[in-house]
Amino acid sequence: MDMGVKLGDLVVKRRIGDGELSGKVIGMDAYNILYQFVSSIRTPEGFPLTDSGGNIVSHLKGLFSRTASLMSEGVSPIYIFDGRPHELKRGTLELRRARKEKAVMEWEKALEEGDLQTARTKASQTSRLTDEMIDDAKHLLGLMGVPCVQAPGEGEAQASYMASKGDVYGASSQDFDSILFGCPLLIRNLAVTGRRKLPGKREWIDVQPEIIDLKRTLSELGLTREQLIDLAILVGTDFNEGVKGIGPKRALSMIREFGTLERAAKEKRIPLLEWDKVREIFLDPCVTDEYSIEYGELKRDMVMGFLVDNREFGPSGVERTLDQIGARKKEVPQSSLDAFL
Amino acid sequence: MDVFRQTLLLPSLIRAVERDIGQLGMDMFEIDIKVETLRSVFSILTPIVGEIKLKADEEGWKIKAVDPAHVALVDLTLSREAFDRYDVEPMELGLNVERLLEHLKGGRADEIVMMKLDTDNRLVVSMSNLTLKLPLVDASGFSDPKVPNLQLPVGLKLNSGELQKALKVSASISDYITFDCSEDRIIMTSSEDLSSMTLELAKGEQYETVAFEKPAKSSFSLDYFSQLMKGIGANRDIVLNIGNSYPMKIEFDFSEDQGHARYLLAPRIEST
Repeated sequence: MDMGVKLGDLVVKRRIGDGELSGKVIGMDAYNILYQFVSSIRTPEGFPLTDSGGNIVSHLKGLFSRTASLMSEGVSPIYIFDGRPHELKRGTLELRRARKEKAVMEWEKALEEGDLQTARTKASQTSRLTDEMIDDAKHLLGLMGVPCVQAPGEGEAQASYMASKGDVYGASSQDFDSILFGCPLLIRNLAVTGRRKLPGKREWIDVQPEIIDLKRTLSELGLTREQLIDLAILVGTDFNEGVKGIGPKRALSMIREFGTLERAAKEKRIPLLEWDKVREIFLDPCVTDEYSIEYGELKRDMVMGFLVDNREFGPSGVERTLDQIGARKKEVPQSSLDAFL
Repeated sequence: MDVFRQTLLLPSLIRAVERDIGQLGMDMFEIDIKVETLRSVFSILTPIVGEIKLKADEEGWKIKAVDPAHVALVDLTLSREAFDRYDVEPMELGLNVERLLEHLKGGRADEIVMMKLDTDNRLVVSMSNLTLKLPLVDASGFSDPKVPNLQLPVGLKLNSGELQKALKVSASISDYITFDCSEDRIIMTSSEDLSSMTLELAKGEQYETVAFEKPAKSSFSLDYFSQLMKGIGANRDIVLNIGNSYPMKIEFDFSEDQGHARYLLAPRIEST
């Protein structure tokens, strides 16, 4: 499902080097990542995995194994959860809800017709995260010793704030909104590395994590962050609809030509609604200093108790993953040459 | 009919002209060099990076590169005297040195390699009866690494074999090694849990002092350090500079002193 602003073609990306993230704290966009797990980890008919009590466990499965493998590589993920959505996001949320309802009907229809391919695709579009699922995820992370941060507003805004303070190295999300929030480094594909199915197609692509550098993107585009935000508002964000017929490339040339959104709108006679409120969301977001990035200890027995006894995971698989965390490379407190320039 | 023929001919004509213009505008790059020398250059670089931006000018080659995490840096020069033929106009070339090194493995040490650019801007590498044409790497995205200007209080001259010894043992014990330098000895230690290694080098026996302002102590990741040692080789005279929780600098000459290399390695942050 498309979420966030469509800046994929404009940003400057580079592959992440082997071990580059080792020893680094990464702020993970928790909702974004859990959504990906709950939509991709499903039965062939498209049902999410559940225990016998009906609790969905798809997201726990993905979260547990992915977090463990990151930790074993020496990365320290911390999870940042969204708080209250901004009132301007209501439209986007309504739209998503409507799309999901439609997808549910199409899924049921495909199942009746025995079309598993379509059923699976439609099912993945129906994913929801309930409060219970979020509580389970937070509970599991707590037992693993992994810090969770509760953002007052948008999780990406909080992650960007923490990155600009130097508490996290970068923010991990599939959405590009983070760079609008001023995140110096955005890391994509961190939770979904490996082979991944293209939505709606029978094709697989090899997904590699990549880094998007805000400074380099801005200098490449010849824009300031304020101008990049203006560009995004023209294209459309989670907080505004954008102007019909204006894609990222066109918006870029308009902002380059006219400098600001106001002038571009005036010259091109585009009616703008609430754009200054949207700007404010990105430039002056709601964030908090109340968080800890300290890792706790891994409570092996309690993880086993929760995942195996309560959520009916296979014990040997859970043990293997726990061993993987146990073999975590001692966080190498490695400095960078940049510190001596 | 004639018009038809002309339109058919035109594109190939344009291509031919473009090629000629391209050739005229293209910078000269043709060199002959011993396999051994080229192998030395590339094996000093590959512990740090796979692809590099080569700067070639009247004086020879200059290469600077840093690993993606900015922990280790290499700064290398090779003077034009190291080449058997050197017809080069100043230019920058992107090379995949990892791949080139792989190809050079087959050659004899004293064999001559010829390198030049062809009209399609590919790198042509020929040695004896083998010819390779390889695409250049796009070097436009390679920024020049910033080299910190380090003032390091301790400088030592020694054979790389002394370090190799310490490295071999410490790798089985821990993931880091500490250099503790006093006036007349260097103590290398590595420890974890109940195991530890200590290797002592004495002044005048295993090393000579080049500079000593004050005692110095720094620790380094063995992962990185062993990579650099691969680039240095087992039996080479080196100058090692150490500071206090500061990067180390290792300098050495290669290819009969026609090449000079410098490694910088950032320290681990001491947990106190």
